[in-house]
Amino acid sequence: MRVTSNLIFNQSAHSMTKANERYLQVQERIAQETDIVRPSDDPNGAAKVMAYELENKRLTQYKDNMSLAKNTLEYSSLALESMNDVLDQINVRMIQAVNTANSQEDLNAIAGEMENLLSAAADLMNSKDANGKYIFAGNSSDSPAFEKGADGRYRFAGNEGVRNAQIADNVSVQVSDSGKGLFQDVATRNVFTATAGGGGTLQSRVSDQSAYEQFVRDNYDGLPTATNGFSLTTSAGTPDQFQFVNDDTGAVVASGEYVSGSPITIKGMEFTLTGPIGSSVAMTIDPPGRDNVLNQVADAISAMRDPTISRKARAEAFANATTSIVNTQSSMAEVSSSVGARLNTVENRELQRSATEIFNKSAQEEIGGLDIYKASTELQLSESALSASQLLFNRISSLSLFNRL
Amino acid sequence: MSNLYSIGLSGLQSSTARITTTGQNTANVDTEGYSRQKTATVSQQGGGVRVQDTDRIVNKYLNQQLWSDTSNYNFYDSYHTKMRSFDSLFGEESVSVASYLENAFGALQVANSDTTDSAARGNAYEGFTQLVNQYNKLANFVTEQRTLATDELSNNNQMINDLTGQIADLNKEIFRIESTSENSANELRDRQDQLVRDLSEYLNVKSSYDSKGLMNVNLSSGQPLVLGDKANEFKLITDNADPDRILKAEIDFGRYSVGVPADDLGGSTGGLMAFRNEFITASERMLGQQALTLTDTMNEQNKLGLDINGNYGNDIFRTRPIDVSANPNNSFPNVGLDVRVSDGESGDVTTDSYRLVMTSNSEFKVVNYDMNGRITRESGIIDTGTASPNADGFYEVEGFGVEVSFAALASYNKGDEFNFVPTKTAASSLALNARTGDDFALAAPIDTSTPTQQPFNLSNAELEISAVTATDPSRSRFTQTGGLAADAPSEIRFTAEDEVELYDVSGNLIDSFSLTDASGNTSYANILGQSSVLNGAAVPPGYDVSLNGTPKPGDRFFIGFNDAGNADNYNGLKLAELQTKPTVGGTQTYAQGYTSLVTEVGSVTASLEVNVDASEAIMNRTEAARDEVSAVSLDEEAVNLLRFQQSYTASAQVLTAAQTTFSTLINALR
Repeated sequence: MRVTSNLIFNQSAHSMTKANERYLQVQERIAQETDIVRPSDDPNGAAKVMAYELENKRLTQYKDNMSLAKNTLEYSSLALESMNDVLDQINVRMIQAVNTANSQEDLNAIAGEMENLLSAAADLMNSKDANGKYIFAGNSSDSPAFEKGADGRYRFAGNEGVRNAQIADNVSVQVSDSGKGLFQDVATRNVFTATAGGGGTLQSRVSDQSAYEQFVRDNYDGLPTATNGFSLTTSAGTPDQFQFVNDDTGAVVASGEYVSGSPITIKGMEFTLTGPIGSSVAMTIDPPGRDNVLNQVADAISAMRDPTISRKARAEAFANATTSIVNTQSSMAEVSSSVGARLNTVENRELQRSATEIFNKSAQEEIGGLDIYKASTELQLSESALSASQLLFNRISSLSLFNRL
Repeated sequence: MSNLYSIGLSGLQSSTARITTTGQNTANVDTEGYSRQKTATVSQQGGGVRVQDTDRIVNKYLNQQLWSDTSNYNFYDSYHTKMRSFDSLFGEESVSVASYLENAFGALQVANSDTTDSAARGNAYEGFTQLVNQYNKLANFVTEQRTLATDELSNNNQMINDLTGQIADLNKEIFRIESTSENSANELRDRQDQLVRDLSEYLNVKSSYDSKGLMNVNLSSGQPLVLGDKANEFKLITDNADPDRILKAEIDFGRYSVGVPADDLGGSTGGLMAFRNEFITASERMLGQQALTLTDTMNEQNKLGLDINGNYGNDIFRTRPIDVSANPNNSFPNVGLDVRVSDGESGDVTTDSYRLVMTSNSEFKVVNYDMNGRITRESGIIDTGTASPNADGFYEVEGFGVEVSFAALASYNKGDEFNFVPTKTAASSLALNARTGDDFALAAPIDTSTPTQQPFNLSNAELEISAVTATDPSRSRFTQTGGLAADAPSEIRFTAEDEVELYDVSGNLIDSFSLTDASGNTSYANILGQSSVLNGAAVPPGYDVSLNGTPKPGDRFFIGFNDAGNADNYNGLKLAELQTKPTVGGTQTYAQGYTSLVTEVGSVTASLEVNVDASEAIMNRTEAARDEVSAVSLDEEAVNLLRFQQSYTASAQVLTAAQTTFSTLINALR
């Protein structure tokens, strides 16, 4: 091989450039604390690191969403809990009021207390969240969920929409419940209308509310064609008989011995028919109603304050209110447990979310993080390579025959 | 005796000549492209030495190799240098469109948590504004890089023509010197070789020598750049018929020009052309595809909701209409056509070039070409006579994501061609169409309810929105002004647990049907979709509902226009979900679309880096090999200098000896 001066100098220049370049690259990596300074350092890794980073950003967003969702859910959970307490207290006053030993003054006092409690209940049904939005108003959350009309009745003024919050990719959780299903559409006490025929006189009442409710559930037909009427007919015999027949289907619901003036109890209904054989009763199930507890209790309060009201009417008003309270509490219990379940979901998701976040961070670190041992060794290595090539150049450039001539 | 004198003299002359050559060599030790010279001598019949020619020591094949290695290295190096700016930019988080996407969608989710909060909506709007800006910035960066590459190419072009001109001039000079004297024009040939090496930095060239020993320079694909003393002009020309305005290379022979395949150019010109015509175009299209998909999918979803004022959502983004270039050879070259992305079909739009070919004056097909000009797919022939256009008169090209509208059909003929690239300008022209955050349509257009007065429902079941597919009055039963049309289904009445009567807004019975199918399964999901009357209707409702419980006979459920529920975030969640949906090309999320571009940038750069290193090493080795033959070694010259000095001294001694002999003889005779 013919070694020429060009070769010597060029080679030294090249090796020094290369050594310098490597040195700088390692330095850059250490300074930026990553093995991937540019995408070209590891094209797939760079994309992966970016993807992890983006996912973590999204996870942070979900974290915010979750805490907002949790706040809202906790607000409604709290409102429902307080509402339950208030209803319990109203219930206690109701039981007190049923006591026949109460004078009208006592009743007025109880009614006063109940009115206060009732307005507390109304406030709770119009609860607002931290942003001043009515939480039970559905999706028209800028106006109160329940409004008091000119007639003094509360009515639901929101809508039936619910709001969801996204807490993970493709997972959202319901964060609001509409007051419509929760408070307004609470079943009222079922009653019936009965009239006597065939020369008899009739006294009727619901003697066993829960048996009657079951009867309504089993027999009430919601179709407009149905009359939901029943007839009690009497016939002679030994002993005299009665039959209780469904007018729509002709089915015999009950039959038995008829004794004029003694009460007949069928499915929680008590008919006291007085009259000869041939006396009859035409009975219709009143269509099941739905109303909020505020109106029902308000009715009971006015019945309480009214000294002229009949005993029976007052008792029915009390029964209505009690049923409404019970039904509202069970409707709230249902929603409450669903809210609890959703809170659980959010909390579980949060655990999963933070685990994923940590995993992503470590994966990101693993792919793109700086391998400090490797980097420092490389730094050392490239430094010595650089100084070696400099030394070499120094030596070789002084080797010329012309220097010795 | 006189012989001895002449022998000594010739020795002196030859030594002087050689010392001169050595001097020339040592003087030019650092001269670039200098080839060491050697003076040849022959012994003369009858005594003495004759100085023959002083020649360069050159291996022409090594030179040729060096030139092609140089052009190879410069190809990769120029491409790589250009890519480095992409490489360092695209990995930067502050530049990454993906992180702007995250920010914008994050802000949208905050707005979803309280849709009535104008500040939160404004924040989301700001997020999307920045996203749009970032797309514009990146697209502008790409365009700038294209301009820079074009500028550099035209500089290169000038240099190339300069160099070929000089090579041709040197041919003239060399011919003049070598034909008038016996000496070879060593220095001029060195200079010529060096010029070819300079030229091969720009182009991959081959040289050959004609019968007169003059150098001809050809492109590697064969076209002559220098023929004797004439240089042909190399030209780069923008192809105006191409939607990407790609550059083409030509050689001008005066009366006519010959095209040169860009792939064969090599050198930095080839590298820059590849960068400009391939990478820039590809990245521009990838960004465009993302912008296009973002625009289409977000717009379509936004139209399915109601904004803060209860109006139908409008387009959130807009992009420039697609540019269509008509082939100049068309029967009516001035007649164009309109192309746009079919609503909701952006997943089918690819980064390919599209060519619409008329197969008759009323039939056409669309062909896709990839970046290398290969056909990737072809549509069936669409007959405008039988296909039905949509409301705006556009014919959809099924599966290609675009639709076309023609001028008068008489102005088209078989064979007419129209070229367009749907993704080309989308990223640079992406803009927000929405004016404020209030324009985000976060609420559902319908709401559901149960009776509020007697007769109440017996069950506690509730309706839920299961789908909203259109709010456009031409494709749904929504009205233009906001509301449900008179024939829109708005009441579901159960006559049995699984028997449904459907009533419209005016109270007319639409259909009554069973929710139990032939195999006895009852489904309360997508109730409207189970109505055969609605399914057979020309205009579907545009929405559907599901029941979340078991109803009782007599139960009624209502569907109404959502005029009060501005806190609803049904559609907002759908908008936010788009972020994680595979939309770009139907397979990637918006962010993945961007990260795959980053991967593309990274891998192109990385592979170029390897190529640069490899080709540099090869070039250096060839240069070393050439140096081994042609470069000057100072040690060698030092030895030669000593040797020629000694032979000079010796020849001088011969003269002295001759003189001494001569005077001895004279003295002896005296």
